[in-house]
Formats: sequence, structure tokens, C-alpha cells
Amino acid sequence: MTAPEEVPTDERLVSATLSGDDEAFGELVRRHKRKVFSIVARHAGSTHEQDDICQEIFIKVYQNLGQYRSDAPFEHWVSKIAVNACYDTLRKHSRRQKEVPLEDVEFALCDPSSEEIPSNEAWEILRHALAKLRPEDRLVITLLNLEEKSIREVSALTGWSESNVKVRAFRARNQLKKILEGNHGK
Amino acid sequence: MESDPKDAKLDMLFTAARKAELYPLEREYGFETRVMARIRAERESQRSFLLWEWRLIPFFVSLIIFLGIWTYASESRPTIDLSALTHSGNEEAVLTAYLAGE
Repeated sequence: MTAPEEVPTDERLVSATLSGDDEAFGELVRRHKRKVFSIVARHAGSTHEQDDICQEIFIKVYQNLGQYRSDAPFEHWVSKIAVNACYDTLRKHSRRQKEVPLEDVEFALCDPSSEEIPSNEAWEILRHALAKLRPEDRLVITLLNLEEKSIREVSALTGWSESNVKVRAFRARNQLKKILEGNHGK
Repeated sequence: MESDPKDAKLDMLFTAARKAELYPLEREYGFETRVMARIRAERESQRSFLLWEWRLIPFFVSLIIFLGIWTYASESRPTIDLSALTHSGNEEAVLTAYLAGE
């Protein structure tokens, strides 16, 4: 009977990649692509753009692999690069996103009914409203409320202090409520 | 403390949005192949740039040698400048020599 094949750890794949093994990096991409896709999908616009950003992220990961220190899980390191890439994209497109019309989005924030909203519809409403926020506010809301990260995790991912994250989250949430209310009033 | 109904509604919106399908799973198909192809292409373009740099070395070396030779040759060439001679204080001797046809 043959022993089950040992699954190489991320750290081992990183060192194999650094020694010139492309297959090892392919395996790293295979393992972490879903995580990167889910981060990018909350921030970027079109599917084409999302695919491009995901590719850019992994190219950045490949180019900076030598800087990875195995004191933190590889997934956290990749997530940090992904979040930074998304933030850069948001900043780049912030002017264009402000022009996104909200006319077709309807959501009654004051309506006391607890009727469940279909998930895709809820995401569409939020996507349009988030596009009206400043890039850093959008990032903090996405990470805290949609990806359910803790304040500490957001702080680690963005490099902002925990108090800064809290202040930004509070301000962004109020801003988001105003946007949704304003939209309903129209 | 009374909680804001707007906050509760917003949280409901977040909860629903979290369940949304953000991208079709088939988009992941072949993604690693695309990434590796881009990495190889970038590596290749970088390699060809380096190759060009090496190919251009003989050209620049020969250019430097040519410029060196040219500078050396132009410096060592003897100059016969009559105006320089007239300005150096022996105008009379030059004029006499000229008129005498020497």
C-alpha cells in the first residue's frame, strides 16, 4: 500500500517558486484564487476589470515573493496585497464612480418592515450606494460589513490604526445611510 | 438604549448582500494558466530587453574607441595658423618673410 501523498504547505511552495519552480506558483494561485476573486468582486466594477485586477495581484505576489516572511499565513499576505490593489483601483476610479446614477436603485431605509431582500438585489443597491462613497470609506465598509472582518483585521490589512478604522467606519456608515435615504426620497 | 431602525435595516441589507453570488465560478477556470502565461510573457520581455542591452555593448564600445581615436588625432595634428603667428608679437618678421617670398 502506498502512503498518501503529502500536500506541500504554502511556505514550501513559496520556496520552490523562489528556486524557479513555476508549477509551485501555479499551485499557490490555484489555492488562493477564490479568496482573491471574492475580495476583488466587492470592489471592482466590470468582470473584465475584476479579472485583470486578479491577474495583476498574482503578478505582484510573484514579483514580491522574496519579501514574504512566513511569520504570518501566506493567505493573509496575499489578502493584504489584494486589498491594497483594490484600494488603488478605487482611488483611480473614484471620479468615475461618483457619476454612477442611483435612479434605478430603490431602498426604503425608513421602512420598518422586516421583509427579506433578495441577495442579488441587496448587493446591487449597496454597490450603487457604495460607489458614491470616498474610496477609503468604501473600503472600510466592504471589509467590515460585507467581508465581516474585525477592526483589528481591517487595521492589519489596510495599515490604518484601529482608532482610525473605527472613525472611518462610523463616518462611512452614516454617509451610506444618508445616500440610501436621499435616494429613497427622490 | 433604543437602536436606530435605519441601522437595523442597513444591517439587513448587508446580510442579504453577503449571500449574493458575486461572480460566476466558471471565471476561475484556467485562471492560473492565464496568470502563468502573463508571468512568462513579462519574464520573456525582460529577458529580451537584457539581451538587447548585451547586443548593444559592442556598438557602444566601438563608438567609444572611435571617439577616442578621433579626439587623439585632432589634438596631435600640427596647426599652421598665420593669424596666430601675427598675434604673437613677430608681425614684422612674418611680413618681411611674406614680402620676400620666403
